[in-house]
Amino acid sequence: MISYRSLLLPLSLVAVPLACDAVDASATDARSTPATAPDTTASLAAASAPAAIPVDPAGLVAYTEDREPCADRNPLRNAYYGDLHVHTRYSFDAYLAGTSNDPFDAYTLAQADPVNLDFAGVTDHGEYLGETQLCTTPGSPAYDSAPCAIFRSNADVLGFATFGLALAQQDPDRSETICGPDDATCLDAAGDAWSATQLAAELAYDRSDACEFTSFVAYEYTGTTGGANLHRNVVFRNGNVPALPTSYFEAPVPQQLWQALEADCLDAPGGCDVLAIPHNSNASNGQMFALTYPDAADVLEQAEQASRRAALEPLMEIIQHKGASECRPGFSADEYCDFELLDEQDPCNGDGSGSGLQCAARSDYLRGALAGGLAEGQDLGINPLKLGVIASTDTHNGVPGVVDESQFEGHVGDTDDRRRDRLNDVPTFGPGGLAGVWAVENSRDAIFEAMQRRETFGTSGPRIAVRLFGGWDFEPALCSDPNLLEVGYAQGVPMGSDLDEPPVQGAQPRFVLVADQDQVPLQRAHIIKIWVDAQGQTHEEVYPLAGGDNDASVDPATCEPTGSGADTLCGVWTDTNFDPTVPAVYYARVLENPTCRWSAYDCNSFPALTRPRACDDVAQVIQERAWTSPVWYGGSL
Amino acid sequence: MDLRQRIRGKFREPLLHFVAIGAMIFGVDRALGGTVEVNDPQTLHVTADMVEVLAARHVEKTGRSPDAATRRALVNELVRGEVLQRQARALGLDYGDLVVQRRLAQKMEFLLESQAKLEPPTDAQLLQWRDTHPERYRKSDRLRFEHRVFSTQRRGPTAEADAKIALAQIAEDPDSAATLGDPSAHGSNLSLDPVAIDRRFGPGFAERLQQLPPKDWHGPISSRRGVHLVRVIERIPGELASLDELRERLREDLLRDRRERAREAAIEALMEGYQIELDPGVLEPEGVA
Repeated sequence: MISYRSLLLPLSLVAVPLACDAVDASATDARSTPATAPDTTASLAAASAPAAIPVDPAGLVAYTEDREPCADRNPLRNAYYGDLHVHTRYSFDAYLAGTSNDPFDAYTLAQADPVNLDFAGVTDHGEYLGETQLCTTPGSPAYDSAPCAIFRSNADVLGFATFGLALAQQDPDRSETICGPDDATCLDAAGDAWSATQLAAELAYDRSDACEFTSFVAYEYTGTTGGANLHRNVVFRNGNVPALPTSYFEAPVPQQLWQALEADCLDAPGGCDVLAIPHNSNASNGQMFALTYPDAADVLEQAEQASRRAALEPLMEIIQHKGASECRPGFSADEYCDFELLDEQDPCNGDGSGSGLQCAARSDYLRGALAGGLAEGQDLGINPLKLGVIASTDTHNGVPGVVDESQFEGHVGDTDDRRRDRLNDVPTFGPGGLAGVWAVENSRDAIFEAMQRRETFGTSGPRIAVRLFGGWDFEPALCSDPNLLEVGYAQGVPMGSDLDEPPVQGAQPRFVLVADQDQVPLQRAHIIKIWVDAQGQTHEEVYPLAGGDNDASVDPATCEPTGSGADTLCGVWTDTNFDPTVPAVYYARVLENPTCRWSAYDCNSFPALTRPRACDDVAQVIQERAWTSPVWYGGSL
Repeated sequence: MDLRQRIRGKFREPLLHFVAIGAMIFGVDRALGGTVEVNDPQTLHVTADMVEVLAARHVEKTGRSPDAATRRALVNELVRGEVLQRQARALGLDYGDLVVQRRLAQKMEFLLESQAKLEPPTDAQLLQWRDTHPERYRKSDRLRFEHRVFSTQRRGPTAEADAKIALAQIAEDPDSAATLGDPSAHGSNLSLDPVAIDRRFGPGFAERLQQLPPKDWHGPISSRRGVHLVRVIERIPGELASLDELRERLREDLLRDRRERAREAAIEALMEGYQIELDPGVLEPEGVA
């Protein structure tokens, strides 16, 4: 049985937010009424003039949209922090949980103190985008239909059966009662919500040369076949986007999603560009990073599918409120893998024959996926799982980027806004993390290009800054060089890239990491190497890179930290076991000193006698961290 | 069609939108929502259309079209529900039911909002809105600066002395700055607003940079990250964005505000028609005179 929390379908009393911005216009005359208000005419004319796409003389960014070039840009790239997984009341489950923020509010909150994100993308569920509007807008054609009544009455089992379970079916259908013949009513309403989503992103985007904030038009694809999480956030490069999101209803298998993104965006005129970011592979029961090629007649068609996937999915979300997907004890002999895991799972190498959350698979975690990709690269000639790393929150409250453990107020409306409830939840949710990118400036094109080249990192919340370069010529003393970044780019490649062939026989690749702390000092950094041997066996090894054991700790009763740590960690590591014939992949991980987890703040707020029993079991301390995107070595004979 | 144009076509006319919807709430409710036509309170008139709707729902639920007995049962269920509902209302059972109250209040709020007459704002009104909420539309102040960090963790107690020696060296040879200090992930050339500066270097750091005369190297200044030498390149004061840049955002924000105000004013007017009595000790709700 799939858990409703796996789909995020909370059972709750429906509060009364109204959908005013995207009411079903098909029910009114508004759609067929041209914009005639006199004061809009001037700006209409201006907007319909041919767009002048600026050209960056320095060649640092390829602009695909009309905007002022940023006044500040850095060829050595700046760290920008964002949240690319944000639900608002346009999402059916967020609405059910009583969330009243819409995408306009979400973008305002993303820029407000103390969050002050550099970028964000609202990713409402593409499924039920129209249904949610129709069922919550009095007067809509479907408002009084039985399924809408069930939706609003929040009848737990019924509401779930009506909406959530369809997303677990192999061949999902929309409700004809709500959507009418050919789904026209729902698609119409979805178009309105999608337009409002675009408008919210447009109004939040700073196109001036100050470049203070970047928004992305985005949505979530929510396929959950058989309870396996196949969810992806689809992020568009600029304002040129398809007329409607491709949802699970149109694309019941991910390959169809990629095909649709290629046809409706990449191949469409007008400069549309897009990527899809898988998340919660930890709940996919071996399915997210399974290497299957539906309907591929031969190896050429397999290669075609693999290329499409590699081009569209350069990143994965390594942590968010439903847990981390880096690695898992049982699959990895690494004590630091025991970190914010989705509980109630066994490492049973799920192969899809189980269901839902119970069975974790090796390939559901970054390390297994990277290994699978290397092996597939050897077999097929194309690595379809060349995955860089970001993180985000998955908030369902329309409040992006609130990742401070002491500020966590739940993520799913009134299902977990009470401390006792969220402590007792199974599985428990956390505040999730942030996406980090190294980009030359804060514009859509610059950030999107950074994501495409995987020069990205994920954090479990703090704004740690971490760089990883790989190369053949780095000096072992590079950490004493104040121009480390210049050297890194000039003599090596940044995270997300491929190492060149070894320059001479016997050469060994060298990696340099430098990380700056956020509010809390850093403790240690690791580099993780994964490789596939000649027999096709995959291996992984974790090496200390900088820092190490220190005297730092935290008292969960007071949340007071003790001991010291590092303001900066820097380390150079040489792969002395390097074999040029063996493909390998390397990424780094940086840990802070221990601090209080959200659960400690919650538990401490109860008097001892009324403390929820969960406080005896739940982890109270967290070692926040950042993960870099990997550097690959292809292997040559 | 251009995206902006397409969006504008749909969303630039909230007035039309809401008047039309407002007019519909009752009309549509009568056609679909009230399950049975109401002429006089003691008569239930079951229309053929209504039964067809019920039959269609049955098909959707079960995959079968209802036979005669099922149709009879559907009608019976409808009549029974309607009778019970009317009786419950007559007895005032809807009163005090929070679910019913919320749902009706929601419809009422929607109706009040939709009745608001919202004229498209003029440019003068947009400017006035911007100028009364400057904090929303002002760019942040920015500081463009270069720094060299001497990591305390790396150098221990000599960090400050090292920084002083470096400052003297830079005074003799400004180009030597690039070769001094320790590496960092963020790098040495930054352009940040004061909030971001403090977040990165610790509270008060931005304030200290603000006081430095630009162009020359200064220091040592300590932060959470170590000891720094800093050269402020430029202070960029945050300016209020222009009307051209802001027009669409201002219009959206102003109309939102007007809609909310219109709704709240209408609710207040309704509240004036009620005598509100409070038990001793009950705090007065806002807006009640």
